[in-house]
Amino acid sequence: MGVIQRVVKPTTHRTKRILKNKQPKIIENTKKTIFLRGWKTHETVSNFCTDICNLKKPHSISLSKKHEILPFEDLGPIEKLCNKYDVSMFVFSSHNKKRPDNLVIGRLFDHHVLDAFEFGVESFKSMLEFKSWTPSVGIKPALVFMGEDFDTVHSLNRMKSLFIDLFHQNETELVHLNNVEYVVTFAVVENKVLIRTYRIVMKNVGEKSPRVELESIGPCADLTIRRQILASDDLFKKACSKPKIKGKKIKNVRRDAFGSKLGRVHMTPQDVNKLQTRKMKGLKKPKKDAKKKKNPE
Amino acid sequence: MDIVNEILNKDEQSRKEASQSILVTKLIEPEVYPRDLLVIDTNELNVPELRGPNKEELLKSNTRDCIQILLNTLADYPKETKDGKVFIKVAGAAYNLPREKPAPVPKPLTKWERFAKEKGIQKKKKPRTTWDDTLQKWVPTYGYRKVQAEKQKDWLLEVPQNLDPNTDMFAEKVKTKKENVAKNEYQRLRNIAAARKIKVPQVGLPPMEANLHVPQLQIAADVARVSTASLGKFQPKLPEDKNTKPIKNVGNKKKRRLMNSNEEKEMNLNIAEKVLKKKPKLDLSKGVNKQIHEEQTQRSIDRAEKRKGKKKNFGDSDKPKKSKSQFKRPKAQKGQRVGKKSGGGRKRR
Repeated sequence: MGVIQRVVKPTTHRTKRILKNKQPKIIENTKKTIFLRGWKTHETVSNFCTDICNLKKPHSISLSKKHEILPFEDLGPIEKLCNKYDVSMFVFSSHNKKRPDNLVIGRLFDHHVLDAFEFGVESFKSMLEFKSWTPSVGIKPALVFMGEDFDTVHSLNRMKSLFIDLFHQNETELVHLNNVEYVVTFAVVENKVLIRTYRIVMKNVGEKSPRVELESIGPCADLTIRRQILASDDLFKKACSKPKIKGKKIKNVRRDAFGSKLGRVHMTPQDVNKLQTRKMKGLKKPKKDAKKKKNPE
Repeated sequence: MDIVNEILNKDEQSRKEASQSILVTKLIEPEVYPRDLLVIDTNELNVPELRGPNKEELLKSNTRDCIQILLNTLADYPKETKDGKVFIKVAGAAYNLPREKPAPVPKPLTKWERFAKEKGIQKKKKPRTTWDDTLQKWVPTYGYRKVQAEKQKDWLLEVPQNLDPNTDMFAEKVKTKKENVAKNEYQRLRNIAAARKIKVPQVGLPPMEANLHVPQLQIAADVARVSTASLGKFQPKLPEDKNTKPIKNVGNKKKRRLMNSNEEKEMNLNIAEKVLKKKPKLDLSKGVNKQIHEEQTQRSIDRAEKRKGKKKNFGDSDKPKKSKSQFKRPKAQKGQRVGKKSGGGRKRR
């Protein structure tokens, strides 16, 4: 029996809105990612993190302060930070002698860490090194996973799910081919995950679909798999369960690209005969009452 | 005719080439999730090749093939124009990813809501304003200008007959209002606690983890004694347990059988008689002890006075010395130290 939690009532409408947004929803927001630095970081990891952070904009938060956190010894501080910013994914970079260029990628479910993987970053090439082209902000990348281990090995299967989550944005039904701008590839080879990013160039050849050519862009890196935290199968299944979507469909209201609300209003048909046009003396209808009054005279 | 044939052949060839250029064959067909723009290729990778210098080339060509497959599948979906642009309307399942937070559960009913549901009480909407006959105006049920109207209306309050005529009814009114607010708040918190399944300590029972004081322990022991199936009736007494009060309100109240008025009257008279007949009990040992105690205290006072007379020659003996029993314990939250007051200056170690 612990101390009873304080029940805080929001005092302003703004906080009320913020608290409401933090509540669980049936259709969730796109997952946000927080980028954290450890007590010491190396250029390689931090650059890798900034690259991914840039790709993930605007769904990423980067904290520049150093944190004395060891995620694989104590998950508490990371969970606390994630809950503070209301994010459910984290990328933590650190560097020490035992684990040089260390990268921890993890995600949360219900305010607790679901799974996390630790990698060592090797042979890294930044986006800036190619410099030729950068994808537009907020665009969803195509993802490719190669290698049968991603399907057969349990932990790698989870890792695949984590990487998809990292670059995932809310699914839309409508896809424009111009928005398929770049692709992130993950290939698993002997305890290593090779990450490559390519620009997609489409060439019209007169067929139903264009021919694809690729151009290398950053970030590229080879990640050696180190430690990992995996959720139990029960918990993972619970996390993956989908609620039934109920409720009335909102009719005649939609939002345009700028976020403004547009509504369709249905009117009764207008009587054109009664329409008021320009007033003129000659067109004036004679008043009935006036006539009646005049007649008896 | 040869020229025509040549041109036709060329055209066919180029068409073939084009169809070849977008055609990809793989041993195992990759899984495609067009909603997520995701391709999962489970074909085995050529590991020795990936170790060699051709690593990047191989990765690139593999990725290209996957993306080509993705675009080929996208082309199969119907097209839709929106805002002057041609979109592909994608269907099918998305890759199942874990949620951020568990799905929201419906808010559990409060105690009142549960009761109302049981009894079938419908929620009635109160009007925003009601007509007040005495004030001759519309008065809001709550909020802005409600208090003002109340003040105007209740400029004079009657003191009920059962109360002291000097009671301040205005203060009383404020008090009842405050109590109501506190009660509502308590109930709100209780409902929240029930909804979150937090255990709230019962009134009168101490928390189980803290270091308990003696009276708290006594309560706990008393409760434990009667917490048996027979309400502690057959519970043996502990060897050094002196204070074994029965706990009030334990178990169901006895149901009295119905009596006629004569019987009831007789019973009540009996009780009255018993009370009136009561005489104080004479406890001999208690009386003797009291007497002895009084004598002893008197003697000690006398002795002290005698000593006082003797000691007068030795300097400052005007003030009576503080004995240990006179030293008051400091009390918390009084804002003052009762004990020895430390003087200013440096802390000496």
